[in-house]
Formats: sequence, structure tokens, C-alpha cells
Amino acid sequence: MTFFQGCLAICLYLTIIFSFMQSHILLGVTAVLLYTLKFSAVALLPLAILLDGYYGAFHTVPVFSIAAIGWYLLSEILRSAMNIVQSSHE
Amino acid sequence: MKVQSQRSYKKKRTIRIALAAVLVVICGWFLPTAFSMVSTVIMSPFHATNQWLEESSSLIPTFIRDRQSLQEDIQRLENELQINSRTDVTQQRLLSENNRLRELLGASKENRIVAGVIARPDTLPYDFLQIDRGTNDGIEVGAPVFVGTDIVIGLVAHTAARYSFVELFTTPGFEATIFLSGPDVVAKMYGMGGGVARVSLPQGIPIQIGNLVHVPSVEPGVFGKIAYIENEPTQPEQYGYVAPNTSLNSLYQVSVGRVSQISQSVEEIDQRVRQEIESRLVVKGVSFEVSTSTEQGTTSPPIEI
Repeated sequence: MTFFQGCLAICLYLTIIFSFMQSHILLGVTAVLLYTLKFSAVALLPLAILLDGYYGAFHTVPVFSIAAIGWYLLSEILRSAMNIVQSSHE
Repeated sequence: MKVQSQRSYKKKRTIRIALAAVLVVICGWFLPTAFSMVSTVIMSPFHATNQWLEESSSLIPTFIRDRQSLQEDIQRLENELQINSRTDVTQQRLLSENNRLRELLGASKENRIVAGVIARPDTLPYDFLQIDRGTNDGIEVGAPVFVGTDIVIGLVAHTAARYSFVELFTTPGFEATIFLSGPDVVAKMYGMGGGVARVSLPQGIPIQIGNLVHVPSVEPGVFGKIAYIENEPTQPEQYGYVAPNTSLNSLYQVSVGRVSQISQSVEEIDQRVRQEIESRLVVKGVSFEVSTSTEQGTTSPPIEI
């Protein structure tokens, strides 16, 4: 990971946090998509758990965590499916 | 073989991470308070930043907040515009329907005289207007004075050859019977002076701010809206204070009607209506023929009414 990529990752991560905290759902979803495409959805799992804990969602249904786990699995399945062509050249 | 092993490794890793996350979530379900406390501690810098974004008067948060509020305002105003355009169409339809029905009922349009306001309460005693038309122009004492189409503000109190004085409904001691739409009651209105009139009603009648005050003896006549309500449960009456919709200082021109626009009594109105109905039963210009069948086949001449 280069310096630029690191900066981009931090910016996207902060954007995700503050957009969900400020209820800018569309911006948050866009940032999540970009982050997943550029990096990986693994880092979103602790963030979702933290947000659920912060909002007290574990008393009811931790929506962010469940959505993040689902999104991580989906993104990994899609990523591995797309990497089949790339893998044949290795 | 290598690819297969890499893929299976990645798959296993994904499943392991997902299972770990599920495990953490389950732990969170069992220990929600502990999770909340830990999360609050970790999120405290983000919480502070979020608060700064929401409440600070610095340039960036203000810019973001202003933008959001402006967008909300635009959305709200667009919605209001949509509603108003529909209301406008409804009003136009109702107005045209009203005119059509009035024509069918034989209500003739009164001619009005346009007059300029030459003196207002700042130069005259309050609740009087001086207008630049008088008896030479056909102004009569007692004629109603309108602002716009149907807002009646007072009556002509004195006329000279070239000017007249208008006594507003808000003049102290002025009394008028009004109809209050909303609770739909007839009540007395008293002028209080200072551009304010008062409507007295018994306790229990649900008057509200914004109820329209009609003056039924003047056709058409709306005076204004209830602007303030004084209601003390220990008193037998409640009071609604009425102020004209238009500021007297912004009056530039008014229109003066005829005295005949003021109905004198209920009997007079009834009589007027009866005459109108009876006159409509006679249809002029209709002729009919009385024919008789005789051997010569003669026909009598037509009888015209």
C-alpha cells in the first residue's frame, strides 16, 4: 500500500464514519462501495460493531453489524469470482 | 493446484473472519451495556468531531449546516409552491363558479368608484381616511368602502363636493353585526380604535386565530381575520380582536360602492329575493299559437306575451 493509498483509505474510512453519524446514508453507502472496491470490506466489520455499540443497537438489533457481515461475505464471493481469470495467469 | 489452494485458503479465511464477527455480535447481544461502554470510549474522538460538525460556528460546520438547511428550505418551498398552485386553480374554479351562479340568480354587479387616499391616520384622527372623491363623483354617505375585490373596511361618513371621509369599522363606538366563519356564528363587532375591532362571543364557542370575519350586510364583505383571542374562563364572554389585513399606511387606492349595497333589513332582503324570483317566472318574447281544427282549416293569429 502506497502513501497515497493509505491517505485515501483513511479519508474513505472517516467519510464512512461521519456520514453514518450525520445520517448521510447515500454518501455513506457510496463510500462503503468505493472502500470495498479499492481495499477490502474486512475493515468495515469492526467499524460496524463500534457504531452499533455507540448507538446502543445491541439492546435491539445490531443492523450495521449484520449488514457489514453480509456485505463482507458478498464482496468476498464476488471478488473471488472475478479473480478466476486473473488466477489462471499466476 | 496452487490456484486451488490459494482460493480455498482465501475462502477459509473469509469464513473464519465472518464467523468471528458473528461471534462478536452474539457476545454484544449478551453484553450490550459492556459493548456500549467500550464503543463509547473508542468512539469518543469521533463523537467530539461529530458534535463540532453539528454545533460549532466555525466556517466548515456552518457551511455544511447552511447547505443542508438551504436544501431543506428549497424542498419545503417547492412543496408549498405545488400546493399553492393547486389551491390557486381551485380558487379560480370556485370564483368562476360563484360568478356564474350569481349571474344565474340575477345578482347584478355594482359599479364602484375608485378613489385615491389623500389623508391617513397619521394626519387624521386614527380610524378615518380622506379620499379624493365626493358628491360630484357620486359618493354617498353610508356607502361601503372596499380594498380589493371583497374586503370592506368602513363606510363613508361625510361627503363634500370633491372629497369624502371614510369611517373605518375600527372607529371607537362603531358597531356592526358580523358573521364569524369557523364556528359559524353571528356576533356583534365593536370598534376599539387604534385599528382594532373586537368581537364578543359567549364562552364555549370555539373561535380560533385566523377565523374570517364577514360583514353580511355588505355584499361582498369580508373585514379581516381574528388576530388575537382574549378568553378568561371566569368571564361570561370571550373576545376576539380583529385587525384589517391591509395596513392603513399602505393604502393607496380604495373603491367606494353604493349605498344600495347595504341591506337594510331581513324583510327587505326577502322581498328583494321574492321579486327576483317572480320576475324570472315571466318569460318575455315567447309566443304560442292557438290552433283550431275546423273544416276550413283556419288558424287563429299567434298570441304574444
